[in-house]
Amino acid sequence: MKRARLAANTVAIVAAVVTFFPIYWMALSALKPAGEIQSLQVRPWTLAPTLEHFERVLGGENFARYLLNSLMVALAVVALSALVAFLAAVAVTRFTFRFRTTVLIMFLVAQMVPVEALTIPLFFLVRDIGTAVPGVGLNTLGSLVLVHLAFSLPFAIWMMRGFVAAVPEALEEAAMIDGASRPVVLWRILFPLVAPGLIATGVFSFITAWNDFIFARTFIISAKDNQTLPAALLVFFKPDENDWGGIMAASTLMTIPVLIFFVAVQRRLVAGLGGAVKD
Amino acid sequence: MGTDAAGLGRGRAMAFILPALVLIGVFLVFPALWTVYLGLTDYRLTGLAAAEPRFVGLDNYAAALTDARFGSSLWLTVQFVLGSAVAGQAVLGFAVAWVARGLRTPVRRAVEGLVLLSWILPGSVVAFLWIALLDRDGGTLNALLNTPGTAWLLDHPMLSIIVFNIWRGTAFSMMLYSAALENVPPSHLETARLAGASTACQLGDVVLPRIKGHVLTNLLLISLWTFNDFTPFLLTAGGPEGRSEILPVYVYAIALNGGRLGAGAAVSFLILLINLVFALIYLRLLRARNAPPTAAAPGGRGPV
Repeated sequence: MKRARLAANTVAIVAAVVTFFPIYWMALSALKPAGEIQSLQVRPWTLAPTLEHFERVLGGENFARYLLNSLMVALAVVALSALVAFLAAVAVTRFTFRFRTTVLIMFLVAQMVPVEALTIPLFFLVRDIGTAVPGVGLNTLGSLVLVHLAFSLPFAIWMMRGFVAAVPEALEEAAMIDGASRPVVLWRILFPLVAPGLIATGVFSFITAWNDFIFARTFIISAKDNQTLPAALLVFFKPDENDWGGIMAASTLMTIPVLIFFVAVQRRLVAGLGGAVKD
Repeated sequence: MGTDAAGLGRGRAMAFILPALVLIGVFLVFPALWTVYLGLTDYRLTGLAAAEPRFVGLDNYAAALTDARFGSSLWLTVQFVLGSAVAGQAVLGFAVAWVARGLRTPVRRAVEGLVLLSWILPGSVVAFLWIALLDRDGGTLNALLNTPGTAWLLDHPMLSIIVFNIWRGTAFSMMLYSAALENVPPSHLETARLAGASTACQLGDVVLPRIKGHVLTNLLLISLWTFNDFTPFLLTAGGPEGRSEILPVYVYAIALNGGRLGAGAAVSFLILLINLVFALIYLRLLRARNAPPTAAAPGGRGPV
């Protein structure tokens, strides 16, 4: 048993080290002085750590602004997606209506549409919507929120369905008999019980919205102030020589908010995923 | 499930689902139908066909299906999905989850956290990291293996993107499986062990039947995600000479680089159809699993 345990520990630690290595390299390169990054002698440490790359990144080209934009879009998507998906999941699990199966299948299929394929129609769509409704057209953060929200919904509803179905209906009935109104039942009984599921889906929406590159590039054309982080990375790519220090420092900065968000919810995430799949 | 157990009322149920339906309808279904229409035209990014696209019927589909490049793309995609998602992520994810449950909680949390990092990082960021890792001249891998001048991305493009995708995606399978394994009562495993069952027997007879639903869901999701994954483009751009041109990259090449939006839309639709087949197989398998009415698993954690 002892040897098995040792083997298990070794496997787990090797896996962790291997996966962690490129990320360590990113942080390391961000801290290395400019001359050392591309030197032929590759060293997995540095003797002269410097913050110059971070200073350059934070000092130039609206980086703080882009960071804020990315945060606003991602958080808005998470909050709206949780709300809309929760309501929809309640409707499809607690109510039988015509086309219910059709709607569910549609959610599943919608999740498989390759994003790249929709970019061009979406561009025209967003442009046209923008002329009718201000605030969600091209060059606005609203357009990013709406499109990411729509793309996050099929998965979120599909996940939430399992959670809502898992809550015994008797619980809601009992609350009703005790005199709770329907909104109270929804928000005070059902909502807290499915919270782990909402957290799991929230992580997904956050990550996709945060990491998105294609939509930000397509919809935000001329409004430089409304650009998001992935596009800000492009500044450091130059035709003659890439600014690897800048890229790595910006990448590190871009990773930190995801990390914070993630560490905050990690424990609930695993429980959340487990509940979603059960029928 | 009753018709209206929560007392929602038809109107309220409709109001609940309406925002989701409208958003998905406007931003997913409508553009998807638009893509289907575009696939039937000779729409181009520039030139005469950009202003007045002509209806060409199924020409684009016929062209795609007879194009050798489409065939090789499809085959590469199958390799990519089987190699990196099914054999790589799913198996490795299960192995890590299985091993991690025997670890002490802090070690386990640390291992899981590290593996998850690779999954939550932005695609563009990890692509830079891997390019730096695999670079021919200053690449870290060459320095570590002492193989200077090996151009991994040029010599082994498919292997590179498969390993990359395993690295990137294992976390999801690991998370799903560790959640699933929480539902296997330790007492059952203990009994099997006392009865002298080998690890393989324990896995096959005790664990697998209980987590079958998770396995199916996981395989469906990671297959679809891998099938539609565009990130390898950032590593190899489909090259060299199309040797890592998986289907999403192929679509990008003909639609945006080649400017043939109509042809690109047709291939996108073919991808969607293939995805649909995956989903139907999955639903069939899931239904087969649910057919015998089994009682809800007792002793499970979280919402049962």
